[in-house]
Amino acid sequence: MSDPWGISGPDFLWLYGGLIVVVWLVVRPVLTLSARRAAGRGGQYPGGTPTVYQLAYLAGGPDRAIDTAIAALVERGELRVSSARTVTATGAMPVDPLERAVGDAANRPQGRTTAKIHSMVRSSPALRSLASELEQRGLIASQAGVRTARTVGALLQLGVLVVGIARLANGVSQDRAVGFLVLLLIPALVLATRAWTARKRTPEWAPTAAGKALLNDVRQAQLSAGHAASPYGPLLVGAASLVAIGGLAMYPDHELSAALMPMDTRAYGGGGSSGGSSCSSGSSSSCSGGSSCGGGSSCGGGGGCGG
Amino acid sequence: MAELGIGIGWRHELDLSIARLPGVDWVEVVAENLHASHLPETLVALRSRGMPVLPHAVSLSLGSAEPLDTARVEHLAEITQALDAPLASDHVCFVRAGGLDSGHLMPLPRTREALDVLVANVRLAMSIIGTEFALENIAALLEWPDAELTEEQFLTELTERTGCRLIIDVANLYANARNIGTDPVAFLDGIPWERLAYVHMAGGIERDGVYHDTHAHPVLPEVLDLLAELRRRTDPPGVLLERDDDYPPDSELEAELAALRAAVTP
Repeated sequence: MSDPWGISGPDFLWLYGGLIVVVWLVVRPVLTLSARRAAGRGGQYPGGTPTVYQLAYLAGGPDRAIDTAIAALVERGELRVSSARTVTATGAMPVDPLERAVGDAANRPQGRTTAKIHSMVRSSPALRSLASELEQRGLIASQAGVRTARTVGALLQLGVLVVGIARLANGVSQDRAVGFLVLLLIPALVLATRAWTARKRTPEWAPTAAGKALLNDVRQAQLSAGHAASPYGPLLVGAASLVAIGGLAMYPDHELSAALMPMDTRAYGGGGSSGGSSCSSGSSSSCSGGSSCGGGSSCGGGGGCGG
Repeated sequence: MAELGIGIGWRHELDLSIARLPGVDWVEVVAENLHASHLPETLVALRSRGMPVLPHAVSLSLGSAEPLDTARVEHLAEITQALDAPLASDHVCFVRAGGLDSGHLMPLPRTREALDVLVANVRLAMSIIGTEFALENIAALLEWPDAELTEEQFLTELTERTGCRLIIDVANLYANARNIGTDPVAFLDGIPWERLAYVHMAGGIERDGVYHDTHAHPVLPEVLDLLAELRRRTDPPGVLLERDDDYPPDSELEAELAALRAAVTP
């Protein structure tokens, strides 16, 4: 009797196993990656100088944009930071939609932590429109494009599963040994299911080549002494631009910076090398509470806080 | 102006703001909110900058006819010592009666009998606290009938018999003038100013013909005028802004402090 589909059992197992792995580890990542790179090819970024929130989103995603709005509002006195690690609105009504969303989230007597404000504002219309502005300018990957690539990848992974099931049905009908094939179908099923459910998840922000080039230019301008003369000069003024590029650790007042940073810096992406973060991460066991971490010697309390 | 200068009521929510506000010479803390063994770091930082931190109690109920709750006085004494404060204070009022806590500062009947009770309690409290002690006039929404003394006479005799000092709350004085018709000028004329510890100022709002001493609104110009009236009689050792709710931006607090300074600067 000839082999089904002209392939011997062991050969099929090798080929099939390889197919599962290649679709999982090569085809799907390449699809997603190329969707992320599709926009903004060539390192050109049209549309002029970005806003500080566009810059923040580009540098650190949605949470960074929120942190930057917090920094801007704190600097303008529209949010108050306390050593209890909360920020509280002081009654102003910001015009900028992202600032407004942050201000609304902090508008209750006991204030809110930055972590809580992240979770409240992350899905706000203000942040979604910020993302779509950046997409339209080709600075971050199109979320729709990434979703399409994921759907195509998930369909391929499902296809692999279907091929395996067809081979199984054929094998069973011909009374062939199918034990090893069944073992391979388990990972094929798991991967296909996971790919299918994950395709709708909000894609991580991903700067395109143009986005990265823009970020680079702004960072260079920030580093150079005469950045007031650069086209980004107006952008690089104040606490918000520092936080946009470097995170809350870069807020120029160290005691406020320490009070703004989430307690658990492991859950916090990057930018955590300043004195502020080393204080807040190491202190959760040794300090009696949030308020006791703001003072001390390592966090610039006492005489250093410029009263 | 001597001694304290311009201060602000220290609140947890404002701690980092207060450390950064220009024009804050000293702060007052509500003693009941603190534990002597673990004072807030931000408050300790102010102390280590040399800023005076004066404790202010709200629960001693020194006007109560029942025995003084000395545990509360001892707590105030501990806080006073922990802050190395030269002066502690409470109010001319009672908050407890018959074992019930009213949750408010209730006015005393201005009778000889009530004054005798208050004097005895203040003497006992002062013997426990061991530093200078001051008492503050409160805002009353009602007056007990058959008063034998005016408020200024009552306060004067209190200081004479106990050696305590006075905190004059100008917003409370304004509230009493608006709500129960006391004469603020007669009050200011009758106060023994050599016993003045410092002055309280606070914001409020008028609703339905009643002035509410909210500590959540800006200081009214009328209250600032009364402070200027006080200034004609004495140079207060300190003036304190009390803000307890609806905290405005730092710039607004700064402006209120500057207005207080302007009102008492000749």
